Amino acid sequence: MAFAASDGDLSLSEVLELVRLFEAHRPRLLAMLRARIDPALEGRLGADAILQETFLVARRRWAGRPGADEMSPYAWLLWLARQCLFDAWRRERPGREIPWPGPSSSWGSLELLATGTTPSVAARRVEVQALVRRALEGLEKPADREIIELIDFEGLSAREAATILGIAENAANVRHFRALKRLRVLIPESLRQEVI
Amino acid sequence: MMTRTESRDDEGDVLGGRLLGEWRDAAPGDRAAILDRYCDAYPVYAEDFRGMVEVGWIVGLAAPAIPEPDPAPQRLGVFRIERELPHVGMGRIYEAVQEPLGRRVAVKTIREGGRRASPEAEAKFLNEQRALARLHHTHVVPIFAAGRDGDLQYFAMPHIDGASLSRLVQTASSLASSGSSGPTPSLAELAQITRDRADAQGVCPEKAESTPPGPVRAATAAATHSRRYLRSVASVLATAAEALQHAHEAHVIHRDVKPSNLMIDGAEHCWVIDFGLASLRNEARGVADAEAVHATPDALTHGGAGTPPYMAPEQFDRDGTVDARADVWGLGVTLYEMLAWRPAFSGRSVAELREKIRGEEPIPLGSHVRNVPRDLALICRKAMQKDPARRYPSAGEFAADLRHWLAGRPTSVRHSWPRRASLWARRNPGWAAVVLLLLAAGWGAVAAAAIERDRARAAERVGRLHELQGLRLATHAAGWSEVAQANVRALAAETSGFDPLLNIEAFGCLFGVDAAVACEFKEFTCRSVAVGPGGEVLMGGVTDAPTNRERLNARLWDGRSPQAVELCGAGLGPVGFRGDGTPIQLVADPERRTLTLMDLKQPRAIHEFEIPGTLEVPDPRGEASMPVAMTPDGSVVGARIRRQDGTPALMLWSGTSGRSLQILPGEFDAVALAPDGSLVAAGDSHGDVRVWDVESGASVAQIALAEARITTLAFGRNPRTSHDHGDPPTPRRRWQLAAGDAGSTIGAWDLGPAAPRQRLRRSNDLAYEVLGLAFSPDGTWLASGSRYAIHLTDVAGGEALIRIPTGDYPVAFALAPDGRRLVVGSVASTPTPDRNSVRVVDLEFGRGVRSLHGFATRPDRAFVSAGGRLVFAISQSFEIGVWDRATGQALGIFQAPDGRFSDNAGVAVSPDERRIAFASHRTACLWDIGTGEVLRTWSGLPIGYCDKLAWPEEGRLILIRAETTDPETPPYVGGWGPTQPARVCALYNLLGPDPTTPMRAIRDFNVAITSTALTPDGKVAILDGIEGSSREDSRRWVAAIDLASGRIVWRHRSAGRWGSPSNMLLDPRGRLMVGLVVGRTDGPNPLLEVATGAIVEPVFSCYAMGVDADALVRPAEDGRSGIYLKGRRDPILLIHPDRLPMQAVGAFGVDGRSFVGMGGGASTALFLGDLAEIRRRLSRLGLGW
Repeated sequence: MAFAASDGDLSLSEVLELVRLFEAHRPRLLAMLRARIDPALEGRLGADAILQETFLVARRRWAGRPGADEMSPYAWLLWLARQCLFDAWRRERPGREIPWPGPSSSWGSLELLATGTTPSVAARRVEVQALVRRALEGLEKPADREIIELIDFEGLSAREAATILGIAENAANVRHFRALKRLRVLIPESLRQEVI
Repeated sequence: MMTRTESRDDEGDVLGGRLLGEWRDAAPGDRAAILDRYCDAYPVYAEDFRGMVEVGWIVGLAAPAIPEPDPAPQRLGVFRIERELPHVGMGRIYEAVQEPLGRRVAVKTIREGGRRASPEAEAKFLNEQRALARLHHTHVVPIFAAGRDGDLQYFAMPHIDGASLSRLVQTASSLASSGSSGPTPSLAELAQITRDRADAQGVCPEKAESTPPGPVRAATAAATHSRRYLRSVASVLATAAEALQHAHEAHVIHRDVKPSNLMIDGAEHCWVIDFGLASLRNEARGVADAEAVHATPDALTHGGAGTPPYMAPEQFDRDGTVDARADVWGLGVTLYEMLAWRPAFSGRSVAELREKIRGEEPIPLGSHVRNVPRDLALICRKAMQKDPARRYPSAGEFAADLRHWLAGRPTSVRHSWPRRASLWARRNPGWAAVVLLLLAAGWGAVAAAAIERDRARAAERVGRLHELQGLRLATHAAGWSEVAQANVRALAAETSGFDPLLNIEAFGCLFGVDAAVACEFKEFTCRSVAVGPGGEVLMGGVTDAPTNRERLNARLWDGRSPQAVELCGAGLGPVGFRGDGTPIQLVADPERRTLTLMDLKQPRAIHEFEIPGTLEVPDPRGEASMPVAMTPDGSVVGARIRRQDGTPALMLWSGTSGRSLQILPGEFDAVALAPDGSLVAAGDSHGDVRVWDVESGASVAQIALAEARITTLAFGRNPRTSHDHGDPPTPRRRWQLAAGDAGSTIGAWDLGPAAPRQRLRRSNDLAYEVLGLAFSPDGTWLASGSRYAIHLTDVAGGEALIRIPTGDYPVAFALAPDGRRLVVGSVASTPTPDRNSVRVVDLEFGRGVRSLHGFATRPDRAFVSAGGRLVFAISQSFEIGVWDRATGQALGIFQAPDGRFSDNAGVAVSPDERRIAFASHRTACLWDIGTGEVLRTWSGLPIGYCDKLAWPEEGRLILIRAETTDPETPPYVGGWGPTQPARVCALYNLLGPDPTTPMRAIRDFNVAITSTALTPDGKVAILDGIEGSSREDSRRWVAAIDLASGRIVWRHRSAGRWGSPSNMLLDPRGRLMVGLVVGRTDGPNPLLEVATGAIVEPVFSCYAMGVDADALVRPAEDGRSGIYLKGRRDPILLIHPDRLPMQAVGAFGVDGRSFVGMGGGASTALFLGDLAEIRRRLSRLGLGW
């Protein structure tokens, strides 16, 4: 079968480790991809297909993957998945920039994170999320939304986010600060009062 | 040039970024010091820095999981705790089951995170209980019980599975900002959407936030609301106001009226909740009774009692007196928020809010909503007057104005004569025209109004389309199609040319179940109904006209005239009709404790049954299941009795001879008899159901539903049969059984042939008990009643078909023999003459397009029989369904014994349309459609693929299939290279003398057959396959074979690779064919003439073909498909992918008119349309056909 042939450099245990890693992060990666894919292109640009491609790329680059101190495995996979997405986009729409996630698409990742807790906590979070969600939608710059998604929702470090975005770590910090500053204005006072 | 502020900002951001880096790297304990250091060093940015930390925390709240500190108790008193419900107020709310009633309840407790509650919280908790205990209103949640378990106080109330208005606003605005910008579905539909979303997330929609939703930033443009939405808001708020009026009359002021404290449940019922802040006044003393609340105002959230954004100006005044008018204010701000989708007042602090509420007017509604009706805006403004004296003096008057607006009558807020005139004109259009003509001469301002009208019309058009979409996609509520059709008509009037969107929506309103109340008999509490063979309706119950003394009676309605005739001699008990049409009743006399079968026509007693003990008598008004039962024709009757030794039992008698049949010991809560009297079922308080054979008394089945008390049972025809050859149709195979319980669960089972098999299990969203059940005459769907609503559910597929709100408790059900008319008898919780009624509901199962039910899994292929009387289909799990084309009723659902892929299975109907045959893999099977009996099975066929059947005449049931020379080796399509053993195309006559030996086998070709087709006359077979010995050198190969001679009549070979494996499609007469390339819509498929192989059209794509290709289903734009008629460029109808997936579309009939298609999506239903009828209906809707 084709699988074995092109895996020459990876030992079986390495492949298994990658598979395990991949399966563990699959739902989150899928949610991210779904959030990023323009619904108009869904069908031609399937999140599953891109995830499949991500796996193949990850297998090729396994040996050269960054160390755990530099980047968490999840961040690495997220990075690869985004690259695959952008490549696919360029193939599909040559010469056009990939659109930023639309306001509504950022929900996907938010809702995903609400699972796996008790109902009352989940419900409270759903409410806070609804408010934060609205605030996020109000952000004018998609780049602001993106850095908040990477750091605050995906839980990446500034360094990981910086690698993914292709910017310096301190630039990521500045961008994050700026985004939070802009977001603050959009969060309803009532919520701020309640939680502080 | 960079301005000063920008550079300052940049510097601040760089510093902020650095702070953020340090902050994140530091241990949590050191973070405050870092923040302080930065703030001290750069005071200019201190606010930004602190704000960043604050907002980072809020955003963080939305993301990571927080561990739950305190586990839920297992049990509180008699309540078994099942799970915690989301709740953000004080304390916790659990979903629980009250034992031993099995009732589903919500239990509210007061402990937070393992700590003891503060005295203030306890006072508030007690206050809520006291307030609720005082109130008895259908829209105020009643209190079931209160208690203390250890140091944990609790009280129980009904579990409302619904969503608050604030949650619905969130749903609405998220719908609007997610692309479907524009008008909104009604509140009930929003509630449904919210529930569906919550289900998808695995969280419960109940109990929304205590904080107000923030301003909707994304929706800066003014919204446009649909009329349905506006009306639903007005109606819900009127109801809430009436409930509050009741509270005020009981001297309870809610004081916290806001969107999150008004809920809508699954039955569209509105509830006022959370009386935790209510002020209770003692009537006698006129002073505050609940001092706790007044005495410790500081304990409450923000100074005064209430939620600041919704507090009336006087509520901010600690010494101020707060009366009912504060709740009127609450209703006003709620109305504002429901219209504007944002709170009337928002502020950065309580102080700011207080100043705004006291001194500022909210932004006019018109700047948030384009089409807010002027009266609603004025009602809202009047309720939100700063001076209580200028508000509505009572909630009741606020409600009255909303009701006036809903009814199109003048409201108290606007008195101008033009408005009154226009309302009058709307109610009296004829007269209005005359008046207008008289006035027209002097009317100068008409032109200006016209421009305004155009703008409004454009907005309305978008609104109507969205409304239509909502109607099509939501679970249908009774009457939806009227609204839909009116919208289509209005839109069509303004449309020129073909509008694909409108076409889809127009088709949507010809499809699906709707219901309309045909007539209603009031002033009658009905416990039992029956429909006679001629459509006459018999009702048994209690007349409760206020002038008459209440008395038990029965009424007979002939199905046409406006009045029902009262019958003498009636009492309390089930009604029915004897075979000769005589109305009868099994009368249980509560005083004499006798049981008599009465002829209501004469009237006379047919039999008085001897009871060895005492009879349990029914409650004339209660909703509990009756302890007596009767078959519809009175042939067998049953009753719960208590024998002389005190033991309970179920006793059965023959209604014809009067003799006793069986005494079945046990204590039961619900009893039902199979319509032919062959079986009896009884359910007990533990949720178990037992079924006995009436004749032998032998136990037939024992079934467990849930653990709650069984409240109602019903037998219905079982349309399914098993494939067991020679197994006679025993009673248990003829009937299916449905049961409902006190915990809102409904189950339905096939009783035979071996063990009962569950077909349906469903819990309503409501915690209410199931009050009544009835199967459709063909047994494919089930009507069920719970408080305030009737639900129709597909038995096998589980799909909810429609919800009919009733406002009372529907307990008794009967269906007309054709299944088109449902008669429902209702009782009411509070007997008021106008609420109890018998409703005759006409079920329109299709307005042009009929739905066919009965499959448990999705249909795969469907056909119309050559004679045109039947529609038949095969499902993914090899069910074979047969329906009557004229009525849409299921004639039988047969389970095929074996099969591989349904594409591989052959199905054919006999020339007389009485039998149906199936063949796949190794077996073939033949059923009698009328009796469901298996007439014949053929086993021992070699393994075969691509079976096709044709039944052109009696004695000739032709089967063609792909095999190999080895009966155990299937003819795999894959596996290139020389195949061993050789491939064979075999032809059988299953009704011939030697059915399992091929009449003919074609061997001399190395073609992997991927698809076969047979002409209906059984003369020509077409084989489609791949020829070649490797993937590279493969070619598509299509050939027609004359079955009489075995000769290849014609053959096409593709040059090179000619597409992939395909499915072949013949027109209904078998004259034309097209090979569909699997998975492609635009393959280079030629349309061929079957007889000669001549290419009629070189490139042809379609999914289904009518006679002579006059009608086609072919791909349209956007992944949709359309039904196209010859000579027309636009499709007669577009089929939306939501409804109809395109991998399997259906088939046209030989008549050139009928089309049967798949229900689409996950639906297990099929639809059956008549193209002429669809055209007629579309043109009646103004769509130019």
